[in-house]
Amino acid sequence: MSTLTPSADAPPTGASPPTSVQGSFGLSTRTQIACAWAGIYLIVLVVGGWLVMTRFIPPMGANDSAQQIADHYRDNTDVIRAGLVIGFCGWAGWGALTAVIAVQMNRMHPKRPVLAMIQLISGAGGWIFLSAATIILIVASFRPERSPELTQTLHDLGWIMLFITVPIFSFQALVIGVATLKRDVARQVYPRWFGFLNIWVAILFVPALFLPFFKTGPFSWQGAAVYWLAFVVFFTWILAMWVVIRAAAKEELQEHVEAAAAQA
Amino acid sequence: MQQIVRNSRASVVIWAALVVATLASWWLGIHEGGAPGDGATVGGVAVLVITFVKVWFVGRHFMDIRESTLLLRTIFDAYVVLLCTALCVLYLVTS
Amino acid sequence: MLGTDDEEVQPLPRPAVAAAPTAKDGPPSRWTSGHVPGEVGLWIFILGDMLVFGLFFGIFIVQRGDGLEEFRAGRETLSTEFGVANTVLLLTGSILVVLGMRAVRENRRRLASQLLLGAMATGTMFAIDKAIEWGEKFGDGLNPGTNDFYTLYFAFTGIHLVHLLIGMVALGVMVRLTRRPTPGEHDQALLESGATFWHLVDLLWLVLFPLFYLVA
Repeated sequence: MSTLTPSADAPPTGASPPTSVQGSFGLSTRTQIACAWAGIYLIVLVVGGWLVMTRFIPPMGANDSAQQIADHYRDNTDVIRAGLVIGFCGWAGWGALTAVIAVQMNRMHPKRPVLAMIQLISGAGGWIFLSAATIILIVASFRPERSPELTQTLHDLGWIMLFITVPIFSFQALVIGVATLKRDVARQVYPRWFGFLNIWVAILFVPALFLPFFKTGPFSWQGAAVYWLAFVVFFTWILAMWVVIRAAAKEELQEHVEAAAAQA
Repeated sequence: MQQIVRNSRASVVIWAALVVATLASWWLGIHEGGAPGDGATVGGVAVLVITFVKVWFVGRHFMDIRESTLLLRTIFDAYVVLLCTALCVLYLVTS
Repeated sequence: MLGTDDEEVQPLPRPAVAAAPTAKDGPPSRWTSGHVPGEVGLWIFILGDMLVFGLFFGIFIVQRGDGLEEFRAGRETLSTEFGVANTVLLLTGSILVVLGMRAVRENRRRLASQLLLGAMATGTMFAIDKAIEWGEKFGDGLNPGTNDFYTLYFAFTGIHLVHLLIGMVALGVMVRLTRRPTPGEHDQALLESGATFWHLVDLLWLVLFPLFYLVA
């Protein structure tokens, strides 16, 4: 990662108003803010497509019969396919969000951004499974006329894959939280409440790990402690990222504007 | 040590009261809440209310919410009152 | 860089144009003036955790409604003595931490560290008590898969136990802090944060205990 120093050919600061993101010292402030908005894009498309169009809200139960699952795919085939494809486009936003979180974390320890790296790798690794789960459900919707047991197997695979990957996301949140709460940083990039929020997120993903053991109740995948908790927490997490990334990117720019003004 | 206890007399009294309340809810649970087959009982609701009074004291006095900002006090009080009411209603409806 | 809320650090004076009018710049609101134990951000975590446990308590009561007989039978297999003992242990741990924090304020740091060690002892006894209790249940062939009551029992008390273990680590850190010859600038906030979390462990158990052992 490049060190973030003002480039030599940056425009003189007096010219551009400090609140503007123009003349951004090569900091890509606008791009960073756009990446934060990718989170909102993700929420809209995943909720609209992946959850509402597919009628996976509330979800099919883990205790539903193979026939019930197969019927769901057969009765709404094309809507489910469209919803999953739209949702897939939504999940794509996760990469941008993970990247910009890492770029800002880099400012905490510019020389050895270990935690930023772990965060980036966890986010990217988890992203694969968000995508894979969606692909598997698209396969489930691809031949609705096949034997119900096969559709059920694919459906199980997709849903379990979606939720059982929580340790990766938990770890990602934990790393962001620890990095934010550490005192020995070059800069306090994110506000401390965001650090505590990440620890909270990390803990709240854990109940999803109970899901292999249950077909009914709060710890089955359709239950309050898995489906509802995981989605609500995930979206809350993204909304918080959206808030802090924009603030951090603007503050970063401000810092450079002031540094340049001090030099002049 | 004695001086420390003297200076936190309120907290020590509350601690003693909480221990007594715990034993009291145990007694209520044995003697009323547990009567077989009768579902909702006064005992069950009483246990829940005692519980949230205890929670309120722990928050206010041990967590020092009492001396904190009005915002935090309001949120905490609302949490205790709303959750206690919700659980009591759920308890009565589902019994 | 940032300490508690009232000493928020702003590295460089900001030009007037950049200063967005936020609540911070206005006159102190009566809603936010006063001391927040630990630091403001910590309460996102504390209140968030309380909210989720609130959800758990609701789940418990709803599930109980679907299986009154099962839950009553389940409750009768629990040893209320263990539950009462654990409640008293955590309450005692809490008061020891309160006294410990008072000792810190009066700068009697040796006494403070002893009181905090006492709280760790109550936490250890809680964990041992819980282990014996779980062991008995498993020995009787009762496990999370037996029925809804035991699912919730093991899941919720398990999640609580994780909190307790985190709380023990926090207490350990606090003991170390009180033993430092010269207190660091963030020590007070750290001590308050640890104490607050330990009280949270107590507070959550105060609700779990009656739900499982008394009203089920």
